[in-house]
Amino acid sequence: MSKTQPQSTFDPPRDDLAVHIQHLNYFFGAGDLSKQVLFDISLDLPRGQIVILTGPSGSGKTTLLTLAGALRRLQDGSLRVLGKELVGLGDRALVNVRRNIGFIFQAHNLFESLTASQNVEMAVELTGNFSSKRDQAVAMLSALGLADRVDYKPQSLSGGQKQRVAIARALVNHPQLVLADEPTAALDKKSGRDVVTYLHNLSRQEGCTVLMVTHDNRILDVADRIINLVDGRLESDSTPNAFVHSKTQEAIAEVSADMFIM
Amino acid sequence: MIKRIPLAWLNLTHDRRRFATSLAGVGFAVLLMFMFNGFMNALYDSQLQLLNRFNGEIIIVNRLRTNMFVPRAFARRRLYQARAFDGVQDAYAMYISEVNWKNPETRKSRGVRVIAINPDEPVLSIPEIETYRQLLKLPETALMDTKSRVEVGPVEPGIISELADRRIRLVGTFTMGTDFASGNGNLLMSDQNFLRYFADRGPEEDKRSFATVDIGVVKLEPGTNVERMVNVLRENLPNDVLVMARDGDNGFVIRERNYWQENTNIGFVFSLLTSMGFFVGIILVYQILYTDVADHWAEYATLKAMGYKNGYLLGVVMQEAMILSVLGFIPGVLVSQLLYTAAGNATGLFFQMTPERIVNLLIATFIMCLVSGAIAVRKVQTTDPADVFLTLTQVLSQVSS
Amino acid sequence: MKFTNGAQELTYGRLQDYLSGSLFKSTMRASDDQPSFDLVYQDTTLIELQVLPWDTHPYPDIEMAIVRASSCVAIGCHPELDLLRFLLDENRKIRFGSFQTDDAGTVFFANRILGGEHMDPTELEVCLLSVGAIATRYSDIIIDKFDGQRALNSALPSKL
Repeated sequence: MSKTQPQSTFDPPRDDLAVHIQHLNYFFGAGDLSKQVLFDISLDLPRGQIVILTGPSGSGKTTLLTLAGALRRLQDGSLRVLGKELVGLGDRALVNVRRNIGFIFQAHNLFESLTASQNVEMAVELTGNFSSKRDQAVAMLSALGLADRVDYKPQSLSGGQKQRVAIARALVNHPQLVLADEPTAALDKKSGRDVVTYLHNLSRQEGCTVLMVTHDNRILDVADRIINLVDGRLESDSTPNAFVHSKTQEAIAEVSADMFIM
Repeated sequence: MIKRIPLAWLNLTHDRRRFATSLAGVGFAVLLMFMFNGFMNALYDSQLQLLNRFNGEIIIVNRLRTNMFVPRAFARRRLYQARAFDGVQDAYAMYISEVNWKNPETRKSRGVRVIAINPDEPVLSIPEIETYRQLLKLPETALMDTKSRVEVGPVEPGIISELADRRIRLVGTFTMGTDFASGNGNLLMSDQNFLRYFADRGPEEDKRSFATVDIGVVKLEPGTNVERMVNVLRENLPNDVLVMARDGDNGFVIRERNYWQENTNIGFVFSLLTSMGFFVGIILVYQILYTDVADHWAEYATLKAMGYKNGYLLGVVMQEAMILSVLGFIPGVLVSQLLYTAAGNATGLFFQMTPERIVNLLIATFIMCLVSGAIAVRKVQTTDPADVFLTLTQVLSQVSS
Repeated sequence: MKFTNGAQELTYGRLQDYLSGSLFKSTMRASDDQPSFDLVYQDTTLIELQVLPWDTHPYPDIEMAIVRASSCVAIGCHPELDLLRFLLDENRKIRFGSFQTDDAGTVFFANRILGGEHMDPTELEVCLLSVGAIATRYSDIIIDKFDGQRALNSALPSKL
């Protein structure tokens, strides 16, 4: 049950938006088994914004993340990532889009047979920079505090260190968009906080956009914006620190002490 | 070092124990193929031991002698006729038959093959004939093949026993090797002795005399064109004899080999067994590759999410297949070489590891690994990078709820 | 500024957000080294707002903080026994917050609410208004009745 929307019904592309979603619908399966998981999602993520995507399990937030990451083919609606329309793109073109996006998974997914540096270099090789790949990898790992572990294999690294290597791999090519799926779920409080602090700094310094799916309440404060997805629909979209704005401001009448005395 | 990270090599070798067992597995499959192939070739090659010792370029036999050991004779006159042609240096006579030899120790009779020639004629390239030439001219004497099977008993000069119920004395030994028709061993004697023992071998064989010959060996003048000579003889000799070059594509050796290939089950059985070895190899290598893909499925899917093409992953799997095939082949060959020697000693058959056979089996090993790789690769192709997200989150949500 | 826990930091940020947009925005001052603010209610009464970390609390998986709003009502009041009886009696009538004293005989009015992510903006505002209104009204009453004086216009360190 998928139809291709004519591109002319959507707004024109905008440079200031890293992710520009308009009326996106997504279905799993085909024919009779088709199940809709995203309903009419429209979302603008400006460049340099840190956005947390939250919601109950099964709400479709991970699906939305995978779609933004060009990991699945799209038919219905408009999803522009870093200026490129993903709806209707074939597999080969999608692969090319992925190279500009950094993925951070919940599991580090590092190759046990490669050192930390080599794992990161795998990402650099995609760009063809064979001569500088080692330097780039070491620089990235050092920025994450792993300078003395660059030649260690994952079995000699702690959980937090492995996740940082995975993050280094995701960021070494300085992608403009970083997609993270529960990046702190497997980490202790300190490592988790370090990771999100790094992402926060990175976003501020390099202007990269971070879209993170998480349940971790400890790190919500790092976000500029929290988007809540429930049953495939956008439920709310707020900035965590402006908590006053989520309540309507009551008008205050002339206050007298009698109000507070029984 | 400006080159790609060798992911295939590193993945394969990371776990040393697993790598060693993988190579052992491939080596085993290679070993199986070598052994079965080796047995088959040994059986064929052994048939040709005698043939390869004929001191002549052209062979003449009775046309009905479909393989070398069919007991059909032709007239010696044909040899005289052959000698008359230009280019023919000489034409020698040879007799051959299968007879019972009594083991002097166990007193049990065993079939052996008897070959008879004129000791003064250089019919066979067996140096011991020269050594024992005078002794062979004595009555009731023979040389025994040291490679005869154990059942014939002790093989030394001086042994006296019975051949076809008649007394015989071994005056020396030579080395050749057994095959199907030789039964348990080979005996070499003079033609005169042969005719004394075996002029009449009963209804199964043609009667023999000096007027008949079992196999004619024609030696050409040096530099004579063999093919031309074969044609000349064919045109000029009557049709009751078959004239063939010994070597070459249409030669006697090949004909013999083809006979054994087509008329026995050797070819079928051993080819079947070799194929089984091949398929065992495919399954083994596929297992190894599949396990690597399955164990590292999340990592490979992550590569896809990073932007690696499917082609790269296929390349990694195929590289692993190649590495396994080459490195597994080496121990396989080495052990096979040892086993060839052992088997040769045990059976008396001629086990030969020729460069051609090594190359053939190396190619077979390559193909074996390519096929396994191609099958394993399909698994990789179906890896959906998005599943890496979903599966993990689903697992986590199950755990936390 | 160092925060003891994340909830304290979050609460501080939210207080800042609230105050910057509230009727207190012109009079609010933030301390440089402590997580606390000063603000003036109705031009007369100084309210001190502190964000305090709460380490031992009933919820092991989350962090908590407390917001304390207090105002100094009077100093040097006597007779002490009558003062204390009066303060306790009035406490019963007051909706939010209570009168408190310290060793030096200073009388405060203070109210505390739960901070962190569960802090409610309306509750925060009611807390502040309550402290401001009560402190303003009772300052005169207590000074008259118990012969006290107005407190100086500066933030005093106060205990929970």
